[in-house]
Amino acid sequence: MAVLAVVAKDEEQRLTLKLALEELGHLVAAAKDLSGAMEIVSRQRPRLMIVAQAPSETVAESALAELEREAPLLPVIVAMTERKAARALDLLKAGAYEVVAPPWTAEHMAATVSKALRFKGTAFEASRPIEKKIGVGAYAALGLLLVAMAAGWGALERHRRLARESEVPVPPSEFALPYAHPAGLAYDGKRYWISDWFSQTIHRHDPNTFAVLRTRYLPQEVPGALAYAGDALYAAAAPRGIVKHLLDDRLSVLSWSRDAAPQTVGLAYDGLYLWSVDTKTKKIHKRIPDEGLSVIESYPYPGGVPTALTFDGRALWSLDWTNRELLRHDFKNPNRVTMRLPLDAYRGGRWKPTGLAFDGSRFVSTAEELPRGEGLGRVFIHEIPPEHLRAILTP
Amino acid sequence: MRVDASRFVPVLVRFADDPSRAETWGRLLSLNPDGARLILRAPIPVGGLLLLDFDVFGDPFSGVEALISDPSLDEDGYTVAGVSFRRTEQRVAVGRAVRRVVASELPDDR
Repeated sequence: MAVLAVVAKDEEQRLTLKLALEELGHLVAAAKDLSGAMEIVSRQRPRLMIVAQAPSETVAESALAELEREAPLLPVIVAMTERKAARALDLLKAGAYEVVAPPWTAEHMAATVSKALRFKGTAFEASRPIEKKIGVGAYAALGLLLVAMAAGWGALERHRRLARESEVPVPPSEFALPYAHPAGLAYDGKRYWISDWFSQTIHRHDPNTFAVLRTRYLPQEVPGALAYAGDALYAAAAPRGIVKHLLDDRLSVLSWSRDAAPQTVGLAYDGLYLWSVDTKTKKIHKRIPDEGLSVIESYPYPGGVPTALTFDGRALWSLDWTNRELLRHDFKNPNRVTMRLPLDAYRGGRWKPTGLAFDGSRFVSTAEELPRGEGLGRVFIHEIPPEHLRAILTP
Repeated sequence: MRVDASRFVPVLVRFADDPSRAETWGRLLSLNPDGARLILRAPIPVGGLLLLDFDVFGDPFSGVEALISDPSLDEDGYTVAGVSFRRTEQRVAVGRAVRRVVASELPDDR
């Protein structure tokens, strides 16, 4: 049973909402104004707040601003006294979790309250679809299947035993990401950083499981390509910028530079220079990490379509989507390719690579599913054949 | 929540097949040049035609014609559906905006 905060200056509205929410099985703490509501927030820690207001009022916006400091992850549902879709859209853009129109009945509010209570501070998301009812025929088929399974059980067990005996643990070569639009990847020696352009976030990931360790929302930028640079992270930010972030918990912005060579899809830092590759001119650019990230030299890209760039400690690598391969570039003349590594993960054309990193022994890439946005993003681990790895580490 | 709610593009939904039906609202769960995944409280019919208004990071789109495919109810009772953008010029415009945001494809010269 969750405590829900209700704010409504009109007593009748307050009572209507309270009754509806209690009917749904929740405890309700009601207040007539915002200061009362904030007291409820600090004392009772409600799971969500419902603000009743007329479309012309701005109580919800004030509540959102107040809660930004006190309880930034508390979902706020606006119960509008009148159905006005345009105003509802404004409230959603302002940060309301959801807007509900009259009637404020338990039945009408159940879905919204249920979804808001699931919210864990990450996203507005669809939950599992409702399962369809199974008919008699399906039960019969299930019975037959169970009989067949029992018959095959012995053989399966024997197969498993043999498999266990010869089993060599193989680490997974790909990981599903909990978001759909990964756009850049960087490795800082301990953790991976992945940007998601659609949700305007940069996520920090565990290097072994790729579980999300931390998420930072960046309302002022749409992050794309990433590069790790000492205690900072460079992020290409659409439509035409490169942002330098401090690697603190907030990813504080150190500087913003207008990108002199857009559209940057790959960034890499070699310890001295920042390198970028763009798809507009298809060139690799060498930049001084000064205030404007000035381009000092540019080289024609020697592959088809570049999608990412990284530095392995000795050389620059790019991911060429056209030929589904990694290219190692001559450091003095990146137009010259010194090694090619085919990437089987991209052969089928299902995935579009978006980021690349090297962890000292393997390449790691991020990808979007095609058509874009249809499914969750992916991380691929690209093992390197031993002879190639030796050549990479001791060129 | 203020931080996260606005991340998923709010969308105004009108029913082109049934102008008498009141406009409603929802969010885009994902967006690509050909279509989007939409989540909203109101039920929507498969094969129906919607008119969508939304912003892609500052670029406003109005009256984007979207055909509904595979609507389903999620566990909370929200409708989740794929929509495909019907008009070529609108697909091109959305694609251009998306590309401008991600800058991860060849420049659009169309």
